[in-house]
Amino acid sequence: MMETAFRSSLQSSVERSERLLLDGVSKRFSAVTALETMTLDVHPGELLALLGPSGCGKTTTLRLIAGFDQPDTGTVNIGGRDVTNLPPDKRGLGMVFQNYSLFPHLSVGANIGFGLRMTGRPKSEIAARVKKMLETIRLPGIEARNIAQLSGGQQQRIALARALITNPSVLLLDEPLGALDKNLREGMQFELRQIQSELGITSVMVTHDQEEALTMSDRVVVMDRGRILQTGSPRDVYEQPRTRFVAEFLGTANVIECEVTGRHARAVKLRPHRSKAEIVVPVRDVGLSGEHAEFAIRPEKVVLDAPQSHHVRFDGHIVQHVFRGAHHAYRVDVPVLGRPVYAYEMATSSSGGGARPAGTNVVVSFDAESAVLLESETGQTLAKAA
Amino acid sequence: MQTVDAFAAQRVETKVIKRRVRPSLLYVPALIFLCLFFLAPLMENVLRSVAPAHEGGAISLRFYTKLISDPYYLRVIANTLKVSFVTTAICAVVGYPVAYFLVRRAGRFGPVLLFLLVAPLLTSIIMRTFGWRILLARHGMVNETLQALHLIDRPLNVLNSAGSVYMGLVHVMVPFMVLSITPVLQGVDRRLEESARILGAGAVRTFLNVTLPLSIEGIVTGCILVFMLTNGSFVTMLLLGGGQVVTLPVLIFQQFSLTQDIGFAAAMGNLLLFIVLVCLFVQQRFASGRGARP
Repeated sequence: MMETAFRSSLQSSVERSERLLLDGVSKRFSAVTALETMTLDVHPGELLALLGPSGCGKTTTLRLIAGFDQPDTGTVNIGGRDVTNLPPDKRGLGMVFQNYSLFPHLSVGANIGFGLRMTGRPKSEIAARVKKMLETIRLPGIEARNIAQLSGGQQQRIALARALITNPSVLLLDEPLGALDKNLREGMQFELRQIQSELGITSVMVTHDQEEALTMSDRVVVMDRGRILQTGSPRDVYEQPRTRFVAEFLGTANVIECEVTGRHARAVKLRPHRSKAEIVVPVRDVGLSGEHAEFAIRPEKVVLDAPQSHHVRFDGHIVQHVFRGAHHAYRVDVPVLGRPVYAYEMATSSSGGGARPAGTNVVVSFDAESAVLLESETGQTLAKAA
Repeated sequence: MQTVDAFAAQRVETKVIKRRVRPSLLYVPALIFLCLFFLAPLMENVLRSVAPAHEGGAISLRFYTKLISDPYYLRVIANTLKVSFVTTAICAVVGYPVAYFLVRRAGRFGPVLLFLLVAPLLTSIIMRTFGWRILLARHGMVNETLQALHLIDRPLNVLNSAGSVYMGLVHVMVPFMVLSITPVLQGVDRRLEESARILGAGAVRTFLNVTLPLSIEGIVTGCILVFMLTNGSFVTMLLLGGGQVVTLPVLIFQQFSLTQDIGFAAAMGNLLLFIVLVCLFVQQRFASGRGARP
């Protein structure tokens, strides 16, 4: 309901979804390279999430788009217009900050209307649009309230309203839900996502929360140490991570180191270091060279005590069990793999049934099709060795 | 078993008593000190200002009546307020940019600059003011330099004028202004300014709409501090004013040293104290008014 209202109140902005292009931008802060040369193409109307640990360059990227910092090389283009040398106030952007950054000395109404006031709209128009906007975000009639009187969730909505009221061409979200309680956050993830897609506004979100990135975005850009590691749909980056870092940053992954024992056209035969079993893993377009390779398997793809049909099987015993509500999480010691394997079993699953206590002997198995061959992050050195 | 319990209970009791007594005792030394050296002289001063005109007479407000009815003294009062006001205004205009630079631009040189700013406070105010006398003297550095540059033909007589008094006052007072504004400015979240920028406000409008209103508390604190300090200062007026600038403290000093009219001096002192109390009241009101919306 809220989303439909948003659409009607901001109809004029819907048509103009702009493309955002960062072309060969890089940024250094004295001796530190914050961002290596990269190109980022945000399609009109999509929500792109920049995901990575702190210091990965995602915030720098956002600040370059906003115009708070200047890139050392490259250009920033919005809707085909080069805005690299424009100050932030001339770029026509909307931004929701971490902790919202609402003006503490202004009322709710003055906060939302700030952008319109700066563009010199008449007072009566500002008042009318603020009123409508407050109705849209389901907080009607609180224009005169102080910011400090609002809850976190309300402040979040006000911040979004303030960013959207000027009909920006691109919406920037800097950890938009980072300051909310966890239970509130999940609801807001869906709500924010729906507002964004209803408006069709090109958006870039920065987050270090993989769940938030997966829930809210059309595409995820995983970054680390100033580089883009992988770009793809949430499903893609989760199920087909290219590197160990991506696999491990997006949720839990069992990464198993192997020797390459055979190569086929579309698959590669791998043998875990201390095991005699061989696994045939499908090959993707990853650069695989040398004698060693790694593959990742998600804990929910690992099956405990499966029927014989699963052809990759290892003996192990449960070291630890944790009940997580939706599923049981197990840490299984598998001697031949030389590392513990994490396995999730649906709590309602009929095969799993009750929890297995620690110490139980189990057979760990998985479908080789769900194993993902990883590109070595030190690919170059491996290539030299080969 | 019972004895142990009783013993424990007793111990708890002494603990409770100790806790109740100790903190209340802590402020006794300060209280005694303040009563002896602050409150008592103040009371004495009040009594002196309303002392009866004749031996055994009733208390009299004749000093106060004289103070607020005689045009000369009214002029002095007005002048006192004017000097304080102008000095405060100049300090605010000069001090704010300095504080802004310290917080926003100085970076790692900030602490050094802050030290340079505070360092003059370590020398006596008389020394600093005498420094101005030497600089501004007929054959002092300022006049010699201006003459050497052929900007003036004859030495300027800057000393012993209102101008030199203001110069000296601002020099002495500006650190207090900067020190009041700096911490408040430091507390202004940069992201608020960035929010304003992205919402279409240019640098100037961001400053006027966000930075300035959010740092106004520091300016008010600094202004009240400078106003009160200027109100009570007389060394600068004496050393740089050459009798041109007469304010209440100068008058008080004259009552003591020349006319020995201590009752009248006390009345003027109390008037100064009253002005200071009004200032503090204004600041309190302002602080609590803002406290409602942090």
